[in-house]
Amino acid sequence: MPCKIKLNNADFDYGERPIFSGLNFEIQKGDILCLLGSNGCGKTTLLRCLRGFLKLKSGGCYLDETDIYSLKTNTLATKIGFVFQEHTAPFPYSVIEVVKMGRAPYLKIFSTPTKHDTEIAEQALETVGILDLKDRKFTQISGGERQLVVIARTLAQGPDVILMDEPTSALDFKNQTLVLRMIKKLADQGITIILSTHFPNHAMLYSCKVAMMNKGSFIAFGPAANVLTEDNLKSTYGMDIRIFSADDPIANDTIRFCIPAKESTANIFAGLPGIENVFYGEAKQENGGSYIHLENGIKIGALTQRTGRVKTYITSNNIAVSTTPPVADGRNILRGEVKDVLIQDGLAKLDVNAGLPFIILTTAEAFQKSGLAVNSTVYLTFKNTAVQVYGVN
Amino acid sequence: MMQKTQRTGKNKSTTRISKKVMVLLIVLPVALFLVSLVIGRYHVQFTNCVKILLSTFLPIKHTWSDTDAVVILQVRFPRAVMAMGIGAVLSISGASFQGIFRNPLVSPDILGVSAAAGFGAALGILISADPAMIRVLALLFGIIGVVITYFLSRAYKSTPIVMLVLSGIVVSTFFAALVSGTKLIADPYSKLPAITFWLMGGLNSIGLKDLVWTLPLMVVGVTGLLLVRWRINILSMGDEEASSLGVNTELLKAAVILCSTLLTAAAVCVGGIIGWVGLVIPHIGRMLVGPDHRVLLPVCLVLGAVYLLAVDDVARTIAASEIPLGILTALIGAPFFGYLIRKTKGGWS
Repeated sequence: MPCKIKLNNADFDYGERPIFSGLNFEIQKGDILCLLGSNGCGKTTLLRCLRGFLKLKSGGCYLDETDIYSLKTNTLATKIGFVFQEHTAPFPYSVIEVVKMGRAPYLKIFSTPTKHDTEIAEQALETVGILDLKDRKFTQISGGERQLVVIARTLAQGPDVILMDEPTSALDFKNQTLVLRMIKKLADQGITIILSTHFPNHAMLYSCKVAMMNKGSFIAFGPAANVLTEDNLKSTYGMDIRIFSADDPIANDTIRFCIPAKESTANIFAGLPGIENVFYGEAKQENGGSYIHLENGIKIGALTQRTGRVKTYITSNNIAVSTTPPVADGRNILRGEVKDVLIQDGLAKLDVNAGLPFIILTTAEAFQKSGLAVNSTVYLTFKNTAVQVYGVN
Repeated sequence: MMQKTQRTGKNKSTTRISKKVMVLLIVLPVALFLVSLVIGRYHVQFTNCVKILLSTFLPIKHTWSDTDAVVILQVRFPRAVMAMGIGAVLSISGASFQGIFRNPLVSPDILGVSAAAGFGAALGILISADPAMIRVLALLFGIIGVVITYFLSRAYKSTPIVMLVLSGIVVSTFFAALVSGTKLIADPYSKLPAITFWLMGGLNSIGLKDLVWTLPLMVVGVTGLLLVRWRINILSMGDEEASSLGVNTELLKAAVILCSTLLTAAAVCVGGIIGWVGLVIPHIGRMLVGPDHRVLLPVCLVLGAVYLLAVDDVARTIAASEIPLGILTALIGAPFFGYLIRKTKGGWS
């Protein structure tokens, strides 16, 4: 299949400041391409170049094998639509008037829209599902509705390709979803869509193609499932990001999603394996070591420079259990009582009361060999390095 | 499809003018025009007045004095026509500028046309040029002022709105200073009052010959604006959005600026500086018919014509000597506008 849009060795700079260089991609009819990247990495500039608002310094941008810079303004507007991040009108035009503006490239400079254009505009509103808004004022509908109106206007242009610059970033959760579903629907109808977004999850949820931009080049390009890895996300955004997958039994589907790792992970997913045992305490530097005084008079050693109020977590698979007191070798040792045991999939999950409620994860085999049972006394051993410490404001 | 067309038919389009407003917009200017010919300190009977007008192209028996004919045809008729013309063109320029500048606070002199034209006129008075020459100077300087503004604001082959407004302020301030300079060196007994009165605006010196050369300018400018009036809607969504819709924004902006400048310069060079009309009338227009420039621009033409004609009638009849028009447009316009914004809480724009 011939490619719909091709970018060939594209370079752009604002005078002294280089924005991107050596960009290449090809996408087919009906593809959705998500541009991901940190603020200022050149996503918007790339979109502007693709629309012909800005001209590449070198390289080429082709629509159906035609150089887009060779197309006239009018022709280009009938082939490529552009949806901006936010839309404001200084005057309260009616929604239908705004959508009719999409017919401008088909009208001569001195003409005004005809009945035919009005019908096309209404059809576009129907497609987007907001025909009932047509007589409302554009300035008085919600941001999400406004974005849908603009998508309808773009449809009235009759384009093969729609470029969208962060179309969901000003929208609330529901409206984001509405707009994304609309994008998916349009792509299914054969419209090629390129959008920039700050939400990698959007690309995962709607199985788009993804181009990850960093410092003016693509660090990865391809289907979301292949490209959106923890490594790629980390090098794009410069922080640890964790990818999870979860089964959605109702939709009979497996969903992948990512969230920033570390602190926020501990906050949000305090129930997932490895990040239980979240405690608050007071960090102190004493006797040449660093210690954390937890509640109920428990004191543990940890590797930290912090003092004052902290939050700690001890990953549940880094805690060893035994029925007899282990040799004191500088590790943290706590004595407790087994409250509950859950054995599943070859793993054993122990609820232990050691002054504080601990959760310990070990293999089922190790658990059985240890001879532990509910209500038996247990010794917990973990290294200072297994204690993660975060400051608390 | 059937159902859809039906729905379309039933729904009242938001841009259509209601019948009441339509009738008002036709009857009011005609009635006011006739009234304006009759009122004044020299009394002419209404029937005679109509007959005099008709006699210019119909053979009608003279039942009036020659003075009647002179007052109506040489004085009141050109003055009323000019008042309507100036009011109309200032309003349509104001509405167009508010559209392309995306701001309802803009008036037609934002790019410096009035200040520059004022200097042209002041210069003309200073060098004792004849009245026609003063007008030509005002027109020329008005246009030169806007040309300077336009090129001052060009950056990266485009004319960003902020740059246009800032350049307009620069040019206005510069020419205002030049006007003050001419006032300073003008003869305080003859020329200084002339300059001051000119700057306050007035139509007391309008004759038929003024109509002959300003009306064609006005027709050209108004036609230009009316032709692109739908595209002003698109341009008001913002430059980038408009160009994504295939609109050549730079060309369109230049065309609107050119037409509006021509109109405002033509108005200022015969009537002096008449403020407020171009700011207030578009607002009243929007209250009546909504923001769609396809309807708004023609409506502004009529409203502006009626407003300035009414104000000019007041200016020439209320006191023993004439009150400068610029004072009255503000004196009547400002409180009226204040009343309107209180009443509607700005809800129309």
